[in-house]
Amino acid sequence: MDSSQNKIWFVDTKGAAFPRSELIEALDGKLRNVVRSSDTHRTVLEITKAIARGADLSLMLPQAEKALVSRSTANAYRDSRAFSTKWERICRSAAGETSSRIGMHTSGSTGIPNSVWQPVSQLARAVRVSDRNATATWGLAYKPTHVAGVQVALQALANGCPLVDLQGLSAAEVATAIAQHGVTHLSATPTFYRLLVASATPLNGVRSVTMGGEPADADLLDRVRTLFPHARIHNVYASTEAGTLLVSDGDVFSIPSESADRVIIQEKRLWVHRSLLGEFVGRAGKPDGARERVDGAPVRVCPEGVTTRGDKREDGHWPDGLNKDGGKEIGRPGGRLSNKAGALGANEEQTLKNPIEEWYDTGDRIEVIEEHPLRFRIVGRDRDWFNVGGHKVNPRVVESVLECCPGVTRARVSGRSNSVVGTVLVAELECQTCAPAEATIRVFAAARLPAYQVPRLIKVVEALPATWTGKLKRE
Amino acid sequence: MNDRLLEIVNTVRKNKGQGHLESLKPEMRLRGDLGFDSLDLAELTVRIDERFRVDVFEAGLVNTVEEVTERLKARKE
Repeated sequence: MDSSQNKIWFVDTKGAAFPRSELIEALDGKLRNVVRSSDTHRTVLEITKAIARGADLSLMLPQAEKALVSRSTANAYRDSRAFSTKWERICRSAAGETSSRIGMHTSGSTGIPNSVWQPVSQLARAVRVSDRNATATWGLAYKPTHVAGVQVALQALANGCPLVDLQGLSAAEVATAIAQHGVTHLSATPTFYRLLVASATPLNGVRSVTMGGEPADADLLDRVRTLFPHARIHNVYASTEAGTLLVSDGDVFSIPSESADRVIIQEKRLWVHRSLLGEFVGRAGKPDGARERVDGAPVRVCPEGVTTRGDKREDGHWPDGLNKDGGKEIGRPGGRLSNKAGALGANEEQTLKNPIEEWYDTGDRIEVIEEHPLRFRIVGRDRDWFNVGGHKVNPRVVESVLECCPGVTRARVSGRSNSVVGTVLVAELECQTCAPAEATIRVFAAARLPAYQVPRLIKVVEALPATWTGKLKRE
Repeated sequence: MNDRLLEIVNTVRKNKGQGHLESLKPEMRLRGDLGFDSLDLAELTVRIDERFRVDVFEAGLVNTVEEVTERLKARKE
């Protein structure tokens, strides 16, 4: 038995101890105590079992919720040793390992309520296993069905660490749980920390604080440093499609060597190579290699007319050759940073006919801090997109749903700055003579969109503003 | 002011399918008693801001109805 004996797994302030649980058996007796049986517990158990079996697991709700409840947890018993064996193989050979795949909903990086499957080996790229990591106690602030939650769970599973469930607690209760259970590592959105710093006294036991999902401003970072005086502050750039891509101290990022040829900065935005993206499935759950909009229509991943360079050739150069002679993009091996970074001429561009095959535009804008070595800050999202509590929202997707609501003819979705979740979505609607009630529209939207994509204020207007070309004018 | 706050609270509750409240008590907790999550609190903030021109969360976390009304009174004064 290792040092992870006698550690506590799931904890909440109301929990009762489970002296021996399925999870203990699943992890081959490494863990002694499990407090609180919850959806979180079941989800992590299912992840454990899937890895042990090399099976796929869907965490996409509501199907997954039903599946998780109905599955017999007793199956974990016989799979206990298989997990650690499988996990070691995954860690040793992440690239070649045929491992389980985890199916998740994206958080809206493309604005599309869609699904993505990621191999565990890919999700585990950021997992670090060591004796020191094994001494950690993780606070779980993300839903374990979300990519960030899965990654925290994997980090804890791989190191045999305790995991303290912090979901659904008030800020004061979170602070109490952190102190009471000796949480040393936290990973959460800036929104989570923003609420916590307002109501907690310094938490000296925390050694590592990770934030991601939305930009964290300098003011928040200062306040987080005050709240966790002994912690290293990490900023993570990750997406459901690509997993963790960048990690920084504070708010300044660099591109790690392992991602150097698959993460680039072009047109002052972050682009990710297709090979880092998972397998997309339509809403019906059929793997089809492409994304679908909520109404079933095909969607473009990048805006129309966006450019790409195509695949790198066998000689290591890019088809347009710019990294040999001009270096107009940054972040690629061999490429030189240019003052003209991102300023491609029209004759140098190749219009992307099927963008998902090559590069994916994350829409995240960057500010270069230092060119050699490249260090940059992520300053925000593409201007038409909104960040609601760490979730990226494409207003066009929300509008397309609202426009399907009976009585609504046209919609415009904008964002209003908010001190709780960063941005609140506001919808303005052009309606037929008899406009539907706000509650009716909300119910309609809530049935088709994740909660964070549902506008919280809905206003009926005579006419939406238009540009001189007749397009919808955006703020 | 309390009536208008009650009206806003009931609007947020109605939009998420919760029942109508006849009155608000100062000790009511926004999360625990009113059943609001982060998005609901954000909506509450925006609606209060529209009506009273006060961002009640601007100066930090607000947990109870009483704390909301205190913020509103403070700004009014």
